Amino acid sequence: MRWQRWLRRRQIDSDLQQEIELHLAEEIEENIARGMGQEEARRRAYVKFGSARRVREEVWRANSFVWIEQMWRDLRYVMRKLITAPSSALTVMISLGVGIAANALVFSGVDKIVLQGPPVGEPAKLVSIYSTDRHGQRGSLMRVEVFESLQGQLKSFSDAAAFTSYIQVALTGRGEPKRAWGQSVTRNYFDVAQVPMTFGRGFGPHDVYSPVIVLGYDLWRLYFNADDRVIGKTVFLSGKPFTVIGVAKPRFHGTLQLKIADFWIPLSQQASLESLPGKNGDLVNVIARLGPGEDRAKAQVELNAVAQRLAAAFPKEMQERGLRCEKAGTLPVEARTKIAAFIAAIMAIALLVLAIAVSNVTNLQLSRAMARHREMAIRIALGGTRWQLIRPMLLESLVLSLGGGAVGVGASVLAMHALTYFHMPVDLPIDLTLNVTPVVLWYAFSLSVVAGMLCGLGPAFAATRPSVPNALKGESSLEKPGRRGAMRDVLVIVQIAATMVLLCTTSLYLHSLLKLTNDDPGLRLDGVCAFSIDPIHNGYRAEQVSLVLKRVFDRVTAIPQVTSAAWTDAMPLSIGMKSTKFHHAEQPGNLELDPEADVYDVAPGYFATMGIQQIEGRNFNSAGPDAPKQMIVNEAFAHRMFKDQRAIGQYLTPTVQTDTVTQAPVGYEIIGIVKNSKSTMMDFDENPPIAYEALEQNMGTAAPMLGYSLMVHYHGNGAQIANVLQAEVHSVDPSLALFNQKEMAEQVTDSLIIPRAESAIFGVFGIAGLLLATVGLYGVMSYSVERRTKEMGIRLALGATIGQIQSLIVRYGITRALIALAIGLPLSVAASKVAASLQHGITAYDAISFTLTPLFLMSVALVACWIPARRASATDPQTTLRHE
Amino acid sequence: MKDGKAANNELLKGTLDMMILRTLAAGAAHGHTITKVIERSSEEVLEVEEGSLYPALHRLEGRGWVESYWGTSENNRKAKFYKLTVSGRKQLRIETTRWWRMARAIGLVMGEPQVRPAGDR
Repeated sequence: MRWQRWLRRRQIDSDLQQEIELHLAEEIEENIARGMGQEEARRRAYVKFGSARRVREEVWRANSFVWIEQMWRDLRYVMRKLITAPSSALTVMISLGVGIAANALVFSGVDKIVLQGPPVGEPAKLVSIYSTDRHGQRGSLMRVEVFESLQGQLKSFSDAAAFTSYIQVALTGRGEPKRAWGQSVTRNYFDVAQVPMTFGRGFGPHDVYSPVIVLGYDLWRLYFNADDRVIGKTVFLSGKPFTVIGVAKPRFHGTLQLKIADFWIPLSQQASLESLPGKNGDLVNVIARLGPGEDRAKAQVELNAVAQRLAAAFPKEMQERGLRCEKAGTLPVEARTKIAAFIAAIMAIALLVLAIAVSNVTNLQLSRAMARHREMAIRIALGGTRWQLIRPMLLESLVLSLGGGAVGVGASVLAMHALTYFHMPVDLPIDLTLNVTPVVLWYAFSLSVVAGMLCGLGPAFAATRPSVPNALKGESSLEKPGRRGAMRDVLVIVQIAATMVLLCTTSLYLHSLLKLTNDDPGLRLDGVCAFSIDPIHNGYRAEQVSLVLKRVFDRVTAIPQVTSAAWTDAMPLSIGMKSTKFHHAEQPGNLELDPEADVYDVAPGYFATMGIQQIEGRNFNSAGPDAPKQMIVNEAFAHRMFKDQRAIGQYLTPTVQTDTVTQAPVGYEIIGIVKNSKSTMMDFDENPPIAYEALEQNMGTAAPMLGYSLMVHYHGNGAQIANVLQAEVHSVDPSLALFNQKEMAEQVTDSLIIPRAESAIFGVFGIAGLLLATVGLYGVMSYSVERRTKEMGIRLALGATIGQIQSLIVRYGITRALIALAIGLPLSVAASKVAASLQHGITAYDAISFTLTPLFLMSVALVACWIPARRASATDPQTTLRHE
Repeated sequence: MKDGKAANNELLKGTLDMMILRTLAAGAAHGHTITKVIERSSEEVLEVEEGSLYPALHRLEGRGWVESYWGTSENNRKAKFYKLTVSGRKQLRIETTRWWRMARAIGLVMGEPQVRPAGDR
């Protein structure tokens, strides 16, 4: 009812106007009938009626929702004020935006890692079951037979399914061959996980032994071009045909946290894809769904009993092992505490940044509110309640903080986008993207509101304290010098000191990053590109691999722009190679003490291609696997193993764990020594020991997980070469999947991912702190200048020059900054010591950082002081003295 | 006299709604008429302040106790007429009962002669 009346307010009002007029007309007529004159009649009528306007107002008010209208009016007032003073509004919004962006970023990481689980149905009821050893440590995977026995015995679970670790294959049959990672699963996998299909179906009872495949949504979109008639089509996995029977729902990538599965095939099919015996084909992970009404505690009890029975049935695997269940998709228990600590630390830092922003804004708001104390006093004197004055101020804070929140969310979206440019240097199926989910938005929104309230309440209450007489006289109720001003000063000093620490640490990391990038890796970087292929996972048998490699090699070296090329089992600077310990061939090995080296299997042309100079001895001579094994070492390793003795001619044997060895230990003859170069990463381990084995002699013993990489030394245009290389590889075999194709320079950048990430994080927080501190200092200076306009006016009138006034103000600000820097310097030194202990290669007393940063901060402070100083000196003594 | 009128009007405010309903019980009327009727019925003791009349009418209409419609007055002018609704009649009965009970109670306290029951003009 009230809504209807509100909507028809105007109509009702015009009706009422008419009604009143008619009423008055009647009254006038009556008066005339009583014998009054025209004028008198009118007058009496109007007097008798009273104020028509008030009647209309009262009726209008009865038809309105008063508080909504008040809010709306306040809002319009606030918006008008903000639009006329955009700079201060912008500073507030940017300050808060920075603080909120930091928190939104961190929280989306938390959300991804901790809160979000795999997008299965009823996630709370899906658990993963794993075995633990006596100490509760999570054990490795379960054998399929054990799983099947387990499956039959479970009562508190409605069903259990199993899946293997990742199998990698090369997908062919539709356009460019592509490498993909998938899992082989039991028939009921999708049912237990309650994952619906976008197209087609999951595995049915007839599919257990058929070569069928369910595609992941992203794989379907990217590789199959979102073809909606993909069901029934054939795709080749490493050369074996599989029929597509379904496409899973979007965003489902398996139940393991942070890892991506592109496709699923039945468990039985895995054996056909594994071409090397002895692989872990029959070890599985287990997931299970809790039955209706069951919870994890009851299920755990049952699992304990089942574990006992399994120990009796499978003594070798399950002896003294327990079974545990946990919500699927969570991180393993051991990692969780560490990750939780890390996350807590980062959230604390982010909240600290926000707190600094809030204190900044509170400062600003306080200053602005103080400037209006006279207006407040007058309004209170005229009968306004305190609440009426506080309401618009709170609303203003809310509007500003919501604006800041929007800025913050926008900035964090940009930052997340930038994060995707951080590649891992290795091509593994790990998912590190961050997204702005509704939870994150909600978090940012609540933070904004809380921040806004915090920023607004204090100043609002302080500014509306009704000491009317003083305010009207021109004094601010908070004029007491010393107390409130001191707090503001302390805040600014703390901000500047904190910023100094952040900036110093950032420049330390940046400095070390620079050193790393400019470090000589001992490898040729210009004009070298590389790519990888994986013949075994493309369907070739072990014996055919060397033939494939040779054919590709021949075609590539035939390209005119190619100077030289060489195969290796691991690209340098890609963290992907093996490392082994070695000992002298005659002596027994010692696992604890033997020196370790990174091991590369390379072709003879490797050293020439990569620009590694050979110092002594000879190169590999392409002997076969049956010839005596040869090895070339670098200087560092030679020194480590043999000290000053001659290395060439000596024999080394790998030190391995005795129970895993299948053959007799082999002795490698050292035939040459090369110069040092970087190995896994461009880090400060100046000269890692490296041992090179001959590729031809070691192929076929194991399939390297990352395939084989061809390093190509070329001259000419890099992009062109890339296409030509692809063409040549495909001319050998069109179904060979190429991956990891990049320039060496790019590889170097990628391998620096950790230092880059660290610098980025510190840089972001440092810049945030700098922005906030600058804004804070500027705000404090502005305010104090404004407070002292009268004093300035008097000084000017008494003959001070503008220069003197300016220097007065600048001195005031610079002393604050100097105090801050004095406090900040020892703190920065302490922080850099901590950083140096945590991270290789950062020197604690980096002279450049510790001189440049304070200078930089000082110059920023100067600018922040100078602008208000100029404003102060521009005051006209007459106006300020009159400014009562 | 003026003061007397002012004091009387104080008492009038709380009961205006009830008296409007009572007036309309006799038949539909427009604002001016209602004023006149109340004033005359009270033997000119009560002076209805038009400033309160129309808000009161509006309030009553909002509560659903009266209805309004545009019609023609006795002087051939357009006027907005108000009419009692069914729930309005019910409300009138309730308020009347309450009023007489109040009046009797106050009368007992003040020691005035008992107010004669309604209908006994």
